[in-house]
Amino acid sequence: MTRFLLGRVVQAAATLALLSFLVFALIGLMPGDPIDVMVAGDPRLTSEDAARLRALYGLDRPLVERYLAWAGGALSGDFGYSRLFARPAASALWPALLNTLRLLSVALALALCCGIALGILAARRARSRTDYAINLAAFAGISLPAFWLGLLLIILFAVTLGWLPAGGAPPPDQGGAAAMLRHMLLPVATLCVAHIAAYARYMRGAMLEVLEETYIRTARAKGCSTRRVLLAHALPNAAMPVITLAALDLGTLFSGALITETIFAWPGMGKLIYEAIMGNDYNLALLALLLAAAVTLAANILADIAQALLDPRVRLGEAAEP
Amino acid sequence: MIRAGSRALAALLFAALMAGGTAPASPARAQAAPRETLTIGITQFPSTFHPAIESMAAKSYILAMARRPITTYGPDWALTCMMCVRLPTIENGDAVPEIAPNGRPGVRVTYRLPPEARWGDGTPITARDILFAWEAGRHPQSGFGPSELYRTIHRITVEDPRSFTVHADKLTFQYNALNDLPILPEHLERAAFEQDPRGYRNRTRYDTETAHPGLWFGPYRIASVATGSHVVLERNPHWWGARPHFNRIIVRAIENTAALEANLLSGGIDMIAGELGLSLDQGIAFEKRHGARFRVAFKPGLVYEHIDLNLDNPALQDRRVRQALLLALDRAQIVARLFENRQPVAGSFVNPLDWVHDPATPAWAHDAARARALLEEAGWRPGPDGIRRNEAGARLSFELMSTAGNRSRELVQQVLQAQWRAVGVEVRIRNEPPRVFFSETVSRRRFQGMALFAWLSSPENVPRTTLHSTQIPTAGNNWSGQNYTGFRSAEMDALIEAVEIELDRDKRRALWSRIQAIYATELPVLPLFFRADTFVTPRWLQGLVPTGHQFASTLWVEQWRVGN
Repeated sequence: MTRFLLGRVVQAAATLALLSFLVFALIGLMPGDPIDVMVAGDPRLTSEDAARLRALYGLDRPLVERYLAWAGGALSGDFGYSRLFARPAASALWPALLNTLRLLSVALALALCCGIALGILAARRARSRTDYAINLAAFAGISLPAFWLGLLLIILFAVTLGWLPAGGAPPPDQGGAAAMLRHMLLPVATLCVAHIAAYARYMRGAMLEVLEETYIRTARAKGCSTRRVLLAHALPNAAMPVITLAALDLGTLFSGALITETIFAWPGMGKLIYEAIMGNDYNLALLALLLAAAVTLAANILADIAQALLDPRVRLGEAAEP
Repeated sequence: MIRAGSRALAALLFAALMAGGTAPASPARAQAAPRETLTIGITQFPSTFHPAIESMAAKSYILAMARRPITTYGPDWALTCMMCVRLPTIENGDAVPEIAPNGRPGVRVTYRLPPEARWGDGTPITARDILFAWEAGRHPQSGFGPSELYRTIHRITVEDPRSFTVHADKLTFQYNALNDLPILPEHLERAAFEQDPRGYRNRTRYDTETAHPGLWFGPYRIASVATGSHVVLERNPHWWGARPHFNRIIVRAIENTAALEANLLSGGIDMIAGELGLSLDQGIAFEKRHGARFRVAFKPGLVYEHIDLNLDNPALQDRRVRQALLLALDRAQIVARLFENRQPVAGSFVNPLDWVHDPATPAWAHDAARARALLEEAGWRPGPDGIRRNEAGARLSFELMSTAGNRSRELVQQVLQAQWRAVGVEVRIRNEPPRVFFSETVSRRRFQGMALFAWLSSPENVPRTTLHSTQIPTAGNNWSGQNYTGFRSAEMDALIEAVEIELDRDKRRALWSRIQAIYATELPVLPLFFRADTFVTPRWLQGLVPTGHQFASTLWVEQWRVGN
């Protein structure tokens, strides 16, 4: 187990290093640099001004040299300055990360609970009306584009009924936790729909497969209650694909949900990453993307460990027996 | 029992959630609440709050409530004092021509600050604040934007704590305009600047301590900032001018315009700023649906939509072809059909609201027959497919490029294409993402035929960078200048140089008339129209006057009132 973990950590570090260079190079190779963006927004800037600002921001140096300077700083904990937010990149990232964590952790937790429950229910009553209804709703949930659903929810709950705010984070010193919850309801609902649908579909499929296994029949023959068969015997095995899916989704906790955040004017990571890339804010884009990648890699390792804990047949780092 | 208890608890929580909160959820509730807070929706969030580092419309809009320029253009487009007691002129003796150190005619202009002017922390605003701003701006490492103003001013002398004299090495008709020299709090910023000028842009209090009251001196001061979300402004107790009505103004950034509309309708915001809000077509649609609830005003301004023609293209070198291209366009119909006559057709780059606009400038109203005749005269005859060809068999065909994703422009492009097709000119539309289009294609003159985009200018803006022959971007001059058409005219060069230094208004008007006449006759650019901003305000808000130029309406925020 320790060897496995060490190996995966080394792999993750190498992946992150490679990714950092790739992202840096890709942003650097995009047409136009931050100064071009400034010039486009201010007709008074002359080419001399542009040259002066390029030198000041270090953009006149070759890409590799700039990357090495950034990497050197990053290794010592200095991720550079965000040009878009005029502050250290890490400090510009933090509020957005906090907002995204608030939104997506609630959305994912809710989706996971509801998705698993609906998946189990559908599998338990396979080919019944309940199953068909859950399947239909799941397909609808997966097919609904987030921007459309978000706008519909806004029109219904904010514009027509006037029950909830149409978006944004609440202004400070106004309403506290209740205000925060009110502002979160619609984006959380938008995010939940697609995730619940996906989890329910995966859960149903895995449960149906597991319920056909001989050990389930044995458990039933021994007189186990249906609830015990489902929750104690079938669920741990059927949960594997959902755990993998949830682990991958964990990465989105840190990379945000661009469309939902844009529709609801929620200042989270998705919007931040998009703005950083479009505004050629290398330091901020790199830090945000690397954080999302690091969390995804860590979540994958955690998923492997969770699978080993749930299924004693899985032994991490050991060769399979012939 | 437990289930019933859970349900009751859930119901209570839901009710509390619906009842609590902050933003007025329904329009009815919004109107019932006392109007001490005004919430404005805009589509952008500023990247910095430093007045001189990076130019951004969102920043200008917000900062106009918390600080003021020394001079500016008013809603009537006339130069006016904001941070001076009176506008200095040669006539009133506050401006005196002098010979600059470079031996050329210069000028010295004395400004007097309002005696009551104070920063938000109570510190008096003095001439030393202006001196500091100029010194910081001149420093090549400070990261300030355009440097021309700081170069042109070769000296600032402090006459007394409230008076200073600016010495410029150029005497232009705008000698007394000090719109872009910011006033910076020396008592808070000088130390950070002198310690490390290169690092100043990262350490300035404007970004590290934005809510510091000593940074602001407008009717409002910035009280808090939630990055990417909103800015809260509160009344500045040290403001010496007219008392603003609202205790607090919240500016919320909502990038998506559909969400912006929904927030307005649900009461999450009270108004949408015209400077950074709905596009014209969205505004027109909004007015039709909700015109009874909101006041929707369309203000044409200085955003000039036009088509740059690449004069290196052999077909476009012929003036008759350029004139025919404009005659073939029914711009009045485009404006009527697509924009419901909310934005005026442009005759040249000079807006009809500008005092130098000459109504006698050739207008080129739609005349397809004359367009065809001109093309015939230029040797372009209809081919078998209806597209004209010259004697060598070359087709009269151009590429029309613009910014991808701009729905309004894409619509206009399609109409233009059809109207040109009707006179035998083939136009192929090829759009690019804005960053590619502006940073590579236009600025390096890589468009083959036509480039559709907009210029943002100021009142009485001399077209040196766009029309002077020295301003044609080439590899040799490191792509400097904005004369993307490649237009060369000795007379235009001379007129530009003359108009800049002509102080007599009547003589200047004559020069401007000639500039417009050449522009409209030579047509290096096909003028389309002046874009209109859409201001959506509640019916109870009074006093907001859209300016139509680059200086935001928030510069007069203290005049905003709640009416009936």
